[in-house]
Amino acid sequence: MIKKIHLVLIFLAVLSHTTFAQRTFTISGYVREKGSQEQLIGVNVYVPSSTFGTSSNNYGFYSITLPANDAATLVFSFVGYERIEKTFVLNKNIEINIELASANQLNEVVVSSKRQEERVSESVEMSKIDVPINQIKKIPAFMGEKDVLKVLQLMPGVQKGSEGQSGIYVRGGGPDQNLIILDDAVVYNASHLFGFFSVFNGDALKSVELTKGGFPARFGGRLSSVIEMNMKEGNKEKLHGEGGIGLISSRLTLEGPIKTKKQKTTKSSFIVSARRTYLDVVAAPLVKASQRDAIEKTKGGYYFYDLNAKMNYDFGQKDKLYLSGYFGKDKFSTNTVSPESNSSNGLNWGNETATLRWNHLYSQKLFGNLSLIYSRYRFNISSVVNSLDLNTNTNSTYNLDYQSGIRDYAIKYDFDFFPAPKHALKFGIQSTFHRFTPSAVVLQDSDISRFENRIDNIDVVESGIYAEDVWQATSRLKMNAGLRISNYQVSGASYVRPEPRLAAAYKLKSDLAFKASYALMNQYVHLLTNTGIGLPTDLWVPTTDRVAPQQSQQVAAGFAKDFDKKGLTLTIEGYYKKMNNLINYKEGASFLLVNDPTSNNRVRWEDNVTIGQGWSYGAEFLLQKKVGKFSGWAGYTLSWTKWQFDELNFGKEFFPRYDRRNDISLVGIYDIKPNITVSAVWVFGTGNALTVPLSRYNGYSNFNTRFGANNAINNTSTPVSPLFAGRAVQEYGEKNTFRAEPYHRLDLGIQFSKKKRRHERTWEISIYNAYNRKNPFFYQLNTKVDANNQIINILQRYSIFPVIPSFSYNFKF
Amino acid sequence: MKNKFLNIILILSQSFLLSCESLIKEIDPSFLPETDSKLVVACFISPQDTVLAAKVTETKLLIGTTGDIRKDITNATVNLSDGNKSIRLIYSPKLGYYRALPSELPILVGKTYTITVSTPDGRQINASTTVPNNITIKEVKIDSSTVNDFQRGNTVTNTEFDVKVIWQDKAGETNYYRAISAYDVNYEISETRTNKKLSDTLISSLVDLRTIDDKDTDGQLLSLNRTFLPSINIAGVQNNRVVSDKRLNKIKVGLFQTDIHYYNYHTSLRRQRENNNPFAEPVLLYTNINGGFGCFGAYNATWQEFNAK
Repeated sequence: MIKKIHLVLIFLAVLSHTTFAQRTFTISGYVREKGSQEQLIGVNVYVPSSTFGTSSNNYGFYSITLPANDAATLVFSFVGYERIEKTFVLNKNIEINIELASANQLNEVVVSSKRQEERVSESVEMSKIDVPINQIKKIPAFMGEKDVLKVLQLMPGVQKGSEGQSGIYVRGGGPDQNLIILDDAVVYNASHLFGFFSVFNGDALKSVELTKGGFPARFGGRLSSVIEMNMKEGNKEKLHGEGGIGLISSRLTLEGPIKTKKQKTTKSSFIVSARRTYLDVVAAPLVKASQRDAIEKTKGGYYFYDLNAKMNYDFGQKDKLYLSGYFGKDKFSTNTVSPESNSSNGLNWGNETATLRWNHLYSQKLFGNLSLIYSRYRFNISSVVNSLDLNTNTNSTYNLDYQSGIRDYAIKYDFDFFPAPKHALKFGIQSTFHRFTPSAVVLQDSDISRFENRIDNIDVVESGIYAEDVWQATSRLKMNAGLRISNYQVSGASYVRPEPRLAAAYKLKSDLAFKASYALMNQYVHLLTNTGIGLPTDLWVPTTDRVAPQQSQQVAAGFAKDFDKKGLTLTIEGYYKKMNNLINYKEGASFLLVNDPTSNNRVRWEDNVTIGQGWSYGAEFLLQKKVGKFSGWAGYTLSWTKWQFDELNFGKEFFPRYDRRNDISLVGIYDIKPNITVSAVWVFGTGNALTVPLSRYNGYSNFNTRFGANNAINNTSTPVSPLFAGRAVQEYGEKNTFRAEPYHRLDLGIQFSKKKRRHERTWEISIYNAYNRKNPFFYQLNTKVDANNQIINILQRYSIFPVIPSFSYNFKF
Repeated sequence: MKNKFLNIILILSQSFLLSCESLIKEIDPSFLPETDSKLVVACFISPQDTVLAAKVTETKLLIGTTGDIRKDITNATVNLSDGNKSIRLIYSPKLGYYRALPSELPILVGKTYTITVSTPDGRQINASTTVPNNITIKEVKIDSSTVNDFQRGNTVTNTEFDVKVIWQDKAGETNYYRAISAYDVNYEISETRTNKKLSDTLISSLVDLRTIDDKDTDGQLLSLNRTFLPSINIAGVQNNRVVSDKRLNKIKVGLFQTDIHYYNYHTSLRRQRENNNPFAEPVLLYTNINGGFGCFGAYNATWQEFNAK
């Protein structure tokens, strides 16, 4: 394999020298934040009023090759940072590291400058959203918990599932179709507390980027989106801390240099960020007090925590090493004690990831990164009941243990290659060893002895090799053409699938571009979910000989316009996406595969799923302002999503639960004074498509087995029909024909910050659902006694969050 | 500043308490998709029939209505036709269904039959079904094993039966099957002192061996099986003066080849019944009745009978 890579390198090197005979020189280096030395991702590096330009990669490295010039000017610009212009005498290759001062470090005049440093009409990428972490911290949040994924839900083309949920639905795709990567490691279940919070702690993150379509070839493995997050490296200058005390949790981040007294320059730094909820601690005395006189005493607890940690070592300009990890866990438990029995139940789930990365600069034009990645998601239900029969004085034990999970080991090598002024290449190879544990149930019962229902672990290998080139074809046309070849190996099946990708931008005016893209994606891991609300019970399963990989093809086209004077960007996009081989539970099936403890049939999860297809199309509108005294965005989405499964809705097309015709989000952040910021968010969305029972009737069956068969069978050897006995059944109409009431909500927030001698503190007050809209969470049938004293069925709407104010105290030093 | 801040928090917490009044609200039925009461028909025909029978009822709106859904519609006009000949089924108040004799309209393999039902209030529905071929049972396996049940400190022994029916699927066509097991149990009650028989009753029960199609197994050997306890001994009975003795007498096994409607309807009916899972999506009930609900299906049955060992 290494030989092959070398061959490709040599070929590319030859290509770069032969095609461009003109004398060119390369300027390269790292872009960092002034002071902290934090490497900056996505900094624009360009020659003003020319088509020469590039941007820094995930490790802050840039390289630009230009024709020889006596006075070549390069501009380095990045949202929220000072803009730097440098002029070089370009008669040799130059290596220069750049430091940009962040807006916080600058005076107010510069901060309020309306310059939009990132011009959407310049980049070839479309369907891409990045939200500055600074903005995320200013937007009001539910219970004061800043949540990266919930901010992404406020973008057009991105939807939430149910009230308060952090699951993400991108352009008609499910939450499983998002590739969520944190420092190169895939995070499988990104939710805490049954989906109400996401696992990402904004304090530890440097950048968040969401791609909805026109995927570059370097990404693969999911159908609908890529959410790429990078953790901070840690301040190299001095020790810094940041933290907050909120209503349900507290968090603390520490970062700083690691160096000995002898060292002149800092080679290494670290960051550690932790968060834990304390509802359980607060509630425990109350629960205890309420049960003081009860015979049966129940103790319950719930908490989650997460811990991000990262360390880096700088061997010099050429080599750098990073080690980062994420550990998070949710734990829910109850313990009930009564004179006759003692039972304890537990529900735990959590992710762990670890990434070791080595950057190597082969030359000014070639940057390489090796990543070794570990990721694991585990879910466990346990239940132990010890009971004592007081009459016979016998003990019996019941013990249930259910586990599911996925574990990955991956290796990845990526290159950034800048061969010529108009080309920027990326290529690489990746291999992931997945081990799936779809479900393992062990049931021990002293009455029926031991029952095991274990599904064997499934080992698979998923690989990909890719190359992509960002090519400035003409002064107006820029494109990113790429190809990814994905490979998947499981016992009994093997797949090799080419995935062509193409994105192009054509500049119509200096501030207006037309963009179009096409992407074919394959997804080899599937998520089986009943509720779509990010429950930990959602089950990751692999592609097998019986279940083919999911596949999607998406085309998107649109316009991107910059209003430079006002600092606004506007994008309008239309998309059409076709999805094949989607999998879903059959009607009536769920994650608990325990059918019948006495059946000796081996249960395969494949028996519980059905294969289908989906279509999604729509239009998205986004007007965004990232900097300035007043910033924020307005987003609108008009979309349709349809599904067709042979075994759902009798094969007829239907709208999946999260089909949403209209979706609006308005986000505004206003810095009234340097130390007071107000913010507001308003969202509106069409209600979910649900299935509710409409009428009832008696369902008669032929040879009904429910009421005995005396009527049906004579004492001859041929029993005869009919037997008209039945039972009440419910009629639902066609699937998901009931629309929940529309969802809308206003959140408000205000932050007061004050610089103290040693630290800066911020008080934050926020109100979730300010006008107390009773949004539907679910609908349920109930009965009531009507005026005529008859019991009748009624349908009730359940809401969960009324207006919820919260406040938190945050500090920084 | 501090006071202002505390005031804000006070006002916020008050508004929070006020807002908690009710998070549950009854929904007006007009918000639901529109629907009205429809006719429900159940009619299953086979060449083995000794009577042609159809049940006619109607649906009731689930929300806000009362009323018995088992109530028959007795004034409907029910016609059964094979394309050439049409007969009318007459309602029998005693039996609770519409009926006619198969001699009036023989049920034959390969023929398509249509049922039409109309009511004086103008509702009309229809449905068609085609009678499938007969299917030969290749083998029936009946296994029994003893299971020990631990009740109130006593061990009780029961005999569990596993009935399995095996047949050869016909290749090159889509086939649908259902199997049934019927078993007769003799209940003998005698007095312990005199050993005198008080009664001896035969009770027949049915076990549904469920449905299967040959979608993934065309042309292969297919089977359906189910394990069941024909009778359950309950601890403590021997203390009584009267002892009941339950003896499995006969096991009958029926294999039906069905049409798609019979299959889909019975499969969805069973799955809706078995769906006790709060996490799962609801199971929609199949119907092939145009303008109504229920099923008009056809099947062709083969039965075998075994004496219990």
